[in-house]
Amino acid sequence: MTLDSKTPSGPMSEKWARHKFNLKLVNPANRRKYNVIVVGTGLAGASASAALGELGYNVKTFCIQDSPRRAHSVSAQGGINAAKNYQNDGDSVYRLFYDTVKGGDYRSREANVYRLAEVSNAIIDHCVAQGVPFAREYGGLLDNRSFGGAQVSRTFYARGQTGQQLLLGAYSAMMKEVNRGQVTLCPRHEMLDVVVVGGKARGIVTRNLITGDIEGHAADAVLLCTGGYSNVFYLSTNAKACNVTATWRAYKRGAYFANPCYTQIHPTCIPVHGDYQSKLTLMSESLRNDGRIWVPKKAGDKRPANDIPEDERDYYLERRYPSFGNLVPRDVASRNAKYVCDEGRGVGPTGQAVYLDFRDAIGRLGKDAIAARYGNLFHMYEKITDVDPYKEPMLIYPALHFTMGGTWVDYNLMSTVPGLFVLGEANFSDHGANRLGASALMQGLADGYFVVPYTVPDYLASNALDPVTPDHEAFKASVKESRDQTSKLLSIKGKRSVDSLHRELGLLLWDKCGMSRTKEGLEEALNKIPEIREEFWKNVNIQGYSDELNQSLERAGRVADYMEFAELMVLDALHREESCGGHFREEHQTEDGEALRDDENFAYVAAWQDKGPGEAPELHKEPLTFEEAKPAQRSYA
Amino acid sequence: MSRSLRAFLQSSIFKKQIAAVTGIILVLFIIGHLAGNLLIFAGPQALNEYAEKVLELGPFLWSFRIGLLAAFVLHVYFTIRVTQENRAATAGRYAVTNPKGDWPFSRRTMVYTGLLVFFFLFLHLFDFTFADHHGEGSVVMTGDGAMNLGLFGLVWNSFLNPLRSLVYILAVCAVGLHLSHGVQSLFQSLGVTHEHYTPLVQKGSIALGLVVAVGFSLIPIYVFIRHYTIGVGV
Amino acid sequence: MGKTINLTLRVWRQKNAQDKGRFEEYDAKDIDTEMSFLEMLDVVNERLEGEGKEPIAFDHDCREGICGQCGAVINGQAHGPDGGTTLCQLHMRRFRDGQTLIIEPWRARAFPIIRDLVVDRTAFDRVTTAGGYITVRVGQAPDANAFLIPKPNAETSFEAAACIGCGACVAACPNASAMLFVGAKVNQFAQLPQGAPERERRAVSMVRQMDEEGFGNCSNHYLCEAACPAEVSVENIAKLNREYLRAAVFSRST
Ligand SMILES: Cc1cc2nc3c(=O)[nH]c(=O)nc-3n(C[C@H](O)[C@H](O)[C@H](O)COP(=O)(O)OP(=O)(O)OC[C@H]3O[C@@H](n4cnc5c(N)ncnc54)[C@H](O)[C@@H]3O)c2cc1C
Ligand code: HEM
Ligand code: HEM
Ligand code: SF4
Ligand code: F3S
Ligand code: FES
Repeated sequence: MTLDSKTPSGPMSEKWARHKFNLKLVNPANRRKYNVIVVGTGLAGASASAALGELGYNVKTFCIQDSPRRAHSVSAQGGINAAKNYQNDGDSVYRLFYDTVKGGDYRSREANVYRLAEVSNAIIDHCVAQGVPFAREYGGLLDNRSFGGAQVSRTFYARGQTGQQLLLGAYSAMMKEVNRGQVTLCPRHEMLDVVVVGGKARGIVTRNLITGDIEGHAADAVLLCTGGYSNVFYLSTNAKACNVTATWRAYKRGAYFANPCYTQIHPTCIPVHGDYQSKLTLMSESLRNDGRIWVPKKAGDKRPANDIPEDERDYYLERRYPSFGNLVPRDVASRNAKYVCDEGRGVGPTGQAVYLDFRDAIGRLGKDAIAARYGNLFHMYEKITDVDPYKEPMLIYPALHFTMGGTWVDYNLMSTVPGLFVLGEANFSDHGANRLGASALMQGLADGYFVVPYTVPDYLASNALDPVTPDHEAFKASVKESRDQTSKLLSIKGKRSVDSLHRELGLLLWDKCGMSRTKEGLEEALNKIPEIREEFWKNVNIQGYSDELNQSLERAGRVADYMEFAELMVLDALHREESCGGHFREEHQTEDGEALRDDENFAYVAAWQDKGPGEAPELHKEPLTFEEAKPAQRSYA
Repeated sequence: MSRSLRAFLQSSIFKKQIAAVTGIILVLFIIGHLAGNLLIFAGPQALNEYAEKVLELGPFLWSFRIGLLAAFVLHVYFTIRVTQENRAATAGRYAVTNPKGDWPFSRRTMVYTGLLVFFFLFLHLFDFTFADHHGEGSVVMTGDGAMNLGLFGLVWNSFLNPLRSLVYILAVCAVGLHLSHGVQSLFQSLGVTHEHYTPLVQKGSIALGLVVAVGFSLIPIYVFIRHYTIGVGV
Repeated sequence: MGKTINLTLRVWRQKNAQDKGRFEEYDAKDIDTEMSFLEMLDVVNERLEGEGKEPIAFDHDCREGICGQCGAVINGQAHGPDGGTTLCQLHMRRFRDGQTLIIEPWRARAFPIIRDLVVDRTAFDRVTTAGGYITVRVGQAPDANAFLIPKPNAETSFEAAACIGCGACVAACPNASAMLFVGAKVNQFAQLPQGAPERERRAVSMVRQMDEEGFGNCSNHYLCEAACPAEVSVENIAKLNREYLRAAVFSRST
C-alpha cells in the first residue's frame, strides 16, 4: 500500500478552500442515520464531538476520566496561537504557517500546516463566543503575548490556565449537544481495541472501568482523539492516564504509526526528587525571560547556591549562545542542561538539575515587578518544593512534554484504516519534528471544530456502509482478545508492581532515547526492551479482580502497550540517521553542536506498518516537499 | 404561571429566599419591639401609653399581627424543611468534623437558636400578650403601697423571678446569635452583595445581634437591680 | 531528599457502592516529607500489593492541581489542611511524625461512593448539561474583538471559570450543597455579553438539575469557599441567588 496523503493541488492558500468544495456532503435528513464514535474528550475530542453533534450525527464519546472536563488538555498553561495580528506587529496566516514549518524543522506536511494557520483565527472567534475568558486590555479588547521566542505577539491566554479554559469551552459545547441528545457520553470507559470489518473501522471495544465489562460499540466512523504518549518515559509532564493504548491498538489493526521518535522535551520542569516520584511538573517557559540558567564551574561543587561567587558560576547558555542566551529553543536548552549534568556539574540533591536564578532580575527590576510577572509560578514552585525562589534560585531540569509522532493521517485526518480518523496530539500531522509553544491547543481545536466536520461526512457519503452491530464476529473476537489479556494479566501474580516495571522502561528510554541519542545507545535499548517486557509478563503483580474498579489493572494494560510501543520508538530513532527538532542524534551535529538535518535522505515521514507478532514492522515513506517554506539550517549561536 | 416561576417556587433557592424575606419582616419587628420595650427605662407611664397606642391601632394591629404570624410560620416551615433536606443530602458525615476556614458558633447553630426562640415565644406570649394587662399580675409594691402599673407592672413582676429572667436572657442571646448570622445571610441569600458594602453588612449584622441580645437582656437585669436598690419608685 | 516520617492511616475501604464500608488502619513508615500526598498513597499501595492486599483506590490524573479528579477528606478537611490546594498538591511535610490521618471519600448523597476514596461526580456533568454553556454553533461566531468586555468583568468571569469541578465544595459543605460549583458557572457567563441571551434560562435549568441531583440547600456556611482549591468566592453564590430571583421575576417563558 502506498501512502496517499490526498494533499489537494493548487496554490497553498487555496488548497483547503478548494478541497472543502470537492468534499461530499451528507443530506441533513440523513445525518442522524450515521453513528460516529469519538474516543477522547481533550480539545480534539470534545470539539469534534460538539461539531459533529451540531451537524446532526449521532455521536458517542468515550473517555477514561470520570468527567470529560478532566482530559489532559486541561493542564496546558501558556496559551494558544492565532494569526489575528491584533497587535499590528506583522503577523499573518502566512507567517504563522512559515514559523510552524520552520519550527518543526522541515519535517511536517506543508499543506496541513497552512490549513492550521488558516483556521486559527476562527478558533479564537469561536472560543470567545463560547465565553472563554481570555485576558483582555482595559479597552475591553483581547490581549496577546509573545510565546516560545516568537517574534510576534500572537498568543491568546487566560492567565496560566489557557488549556483549562479552552477545554471547558469545548466541553460545554459538547454538553450542549448532550442536552440536545446528539452526543452520548461514556466516561470511565477505556478503549482497548479498534474493530475493523470489511477493511473499514466500524467500532471499538471498551472496558467499563467501574464494572469491568468489556463490550463492543459499533459505528460508521471512529475518531481517535486520545492524546500523546509521553508517559512511555514514565516521568513526564503529562497526566497520569495519558497512554498509547488507543493508537497502538489501532496500529495493530493496520493504522500506520508515523515518526514515533519525535518527542519534545521541555527545559523548565521541577526536577525529580526521589524514586517515588510519580510525575513532573512544568514551570512555564516564560520564566526564561528573566531567569538566568547556571551551574557551578567546578564539578561536584556542593555549596548552597547563594554561597557560590559570581566568578565560579557558569551561565552556560549565555556563554555558548551569546545572541539568544537563556531564550534558545526548548531542545537546545534541554540538551545543554543534560550535558552539564553529565559533566557532574548538576546541582540539587540528585545532581540532575540546574539553577534558574532570578537574583539579577530582582536586583534590576525589584521584587514587586518579578512578583507581578511570575507570582503564581513562584507560588506553585514554593508549594511543591518548599523553597522560596525569591531567595534561592529555582532548580529545574528538562522533562518529556509532548509527542509529535502519532498515527499517520492523510490531509483528511484519516489513517490508513478507512473510517478511522485521528485528531489532536494522537496524530502526527502538523508539528513535524518539533512543536512551537502554544500550537498544540490550536491544532486540537482546528482538527475538531474545523477539519473533521468536513472530512468525516465526505467519508460517510462516499462509502456504502452496511449496518454492523456489536454481535458481529469481528466484535466478538476482539472482545474475547481483550478479556483474555485482562485475565492473563491478573493471573500472573508475580513480585513486581506495575509502576516499578514502567519506571524501569522509562529510565531506559530517558537514557537512551531521550534528549540525545546515539546508535549504540539505541541498539542497547532495543536489546533491553524485550527483556523488560518479558519480565513484565512473567513477574507483574496485580491484585483484585477484573469485574470491578481496578486501577492497577488499568495501568498494567497501558504499560503492556508501552512495552511494545517503546521498541518501535527506538527503532524509528535508530533508523533516522540525522538530527532534526526533538530528535537529536549525537552522530549528526554541526561543529557548534547543533542538530544537523539530512534533507536529501530523510525529508520524509516515517510511517510504520505492523506486520504481526514476531515480525519486524515495515517502513513506508511519505516524501515531504516544500513549495513555500524552503528548508534552512537552524542556528542560534 | 410561567414555567420559570413554577420552577422557582419548587427550588431550593426559593425556600431559602422565603426564609430571607420573612427574616427581614421578623428582624424589623424585633428592632421595633426592642425600641418599644426600652421605654421601660422611661418609666411605667411611657411604656403603658405606648402599649395603649399600639392597641388603639385596632384593625391595623390585627393585620400587622397576622402578617407577623404568617412570616413567622413561613420562616419556621421553610427553614425546618430546608434543614431536613440538608440532613438527607449529606448521607452520613465524616469521622471527624474539622472544617477549614471560619465556622463561627452563630452560623453552626442557626437551627438550634431558631428552635430556642420558637419555644421561648410560647412562654413569652403567655407571659405578656395573653396575660391580663390590668389584673393581679400587674400589681406592684411601691413606696406608696400596692399599685396596678398595667403592662409595666406585669413585666416588672415577671422579672422578679430570677429563673424566668434567666430564661429570657438566654432566649434573647439566642435571638442575638440567630441575627448576627441571619442578617448578613439574608443579604447573601437575596443576592444583595457588593464588594464595597458587603463587609459593612457583615459587621452590621454582628452589631445588630449584639444590640438585640444586650438590649433585651438589659430589661430583666434593670428590673432586678432596681428592685433590690431604689425600688420601682413612680 | 527530605526527612522521613511515620504515620498511621485510617482509610475508608469500601468494595463497591453496595458494600457498607469501614475504616482500616495501615502503617505508613518512612514517608519522605518531599512526597506529595498521592505519592504517599502510591507507596502505601505498592506495599499493600506486595503483601497480596488490594490497593486503596483513589482518583487522580494531572497531579498538578488542575484536572479536579483527585480529592479526599483528611482529618475532616476536604483536600487536606492547606487552603487553595488540591490533594495532589498537598505535601507530606505538612504532617508530623507519628500523626494519625483519617482519610475518607467525599460524602454526599449526590456523590455515591464507587470504591474506597473514589466517588461518582457525574451529577456535576448533568448540571452542566442542563445549561452550563453558551449556545453557539461552529461557524456562527463573529470576530473575537466584536465583543468588548471590560477588564474587571473578564477577570471576574475568569475567577469563576477557574473552578476545577473537584467537588470539594460539596464535600466541605455541611449541607452537601453544590451552590459554589453552580454559582461559579452561572456567574462566569452572567459577566459576559455573549452569555446574556440565555441568562435566565441557564440559571433556572441549572438550579433545577442541581436540586434533582439531591444536593443540599445553601445556608451560607461559607465552608465551601475555604475548601475550594481554585479559591472560587462565595460571591458567586450571591450572584446565583440574584440571577435566579431575577429570572423568576422578570423572565418570559423559557
Ligand atoms: C503541562 C503541559 C502544558 C502544556 N501547555 C501547552 C500550551 O501552553 N499550549 C499548547 O498549545 N499546548 C500545550 N501543551 C500541549 C497540549 O496540552 C496537548 O498537546 C493537547 O492538549 C492534546 O490534546 P488532545 O485533545 O489531543 O488530547 P488530550 O487532551 O490528551 O486528551 C486525550 C483524551 O483521550 C482520552 N483517552 C486516551 N486514551 C484513551 C483510551 N484508551 N480510551 C478512552 N479514552 C482515552 C482521555 O481520557 C482524554 O479524554 C501542554 C502540555 C502539557 C503536558
Ligand atoms: C422560631 C423559630 C425559628 C427557627 C426554627 C429559625 C430557623 C432558622 C434557620 C434554620 C435559619 C437558616 C436557614 C437557612 O439559611 O437555610 C434561619 C435563618 C434566618 N432567621 Fe430564623 N428561625 C426562627 C426564628 C427567627 C426569628 C424570630 C427571626 C427574626 C427575628 C429570624 C431571622 C432569621 C434570619 C434573618 C435568617 C437568615 C435568612 C437567610 O439567610 O436567608 N428567625 N432561621
Ligand atoms: C426582655 C425581653 C422582652 C420583653 C420585656 C418583651 C416584652 C413584651 C411585651 C410587654 C409584650 C406585650 C405587648 C402587648 O401585648 O402590647 C410582648 C409581645 C411580644 N413579644 Fe416580646 N419581649 C421581649 C423579648 C421578645 C423577643 C426576643 C421576641 C421575639 C423573638 C419577642 C416577641 C414578641 C411578640 C411576637 C409579641 C406579641 C406581639 C403582638 O402582640 O403583636 N419578644 N413582648
Ligand atoms: S467550586 Fe471549587 S471546590 Fe467546588 S468544584 Fe469548583 S473548584 Fe472544586
Ligand atoms: S458551605 Fe454550603 S451552605 Fe452554602 S456557602 Fe457554601 S454551599
Ligand atoms: S490530580 Fe488533577 S487536580 Fe489533583
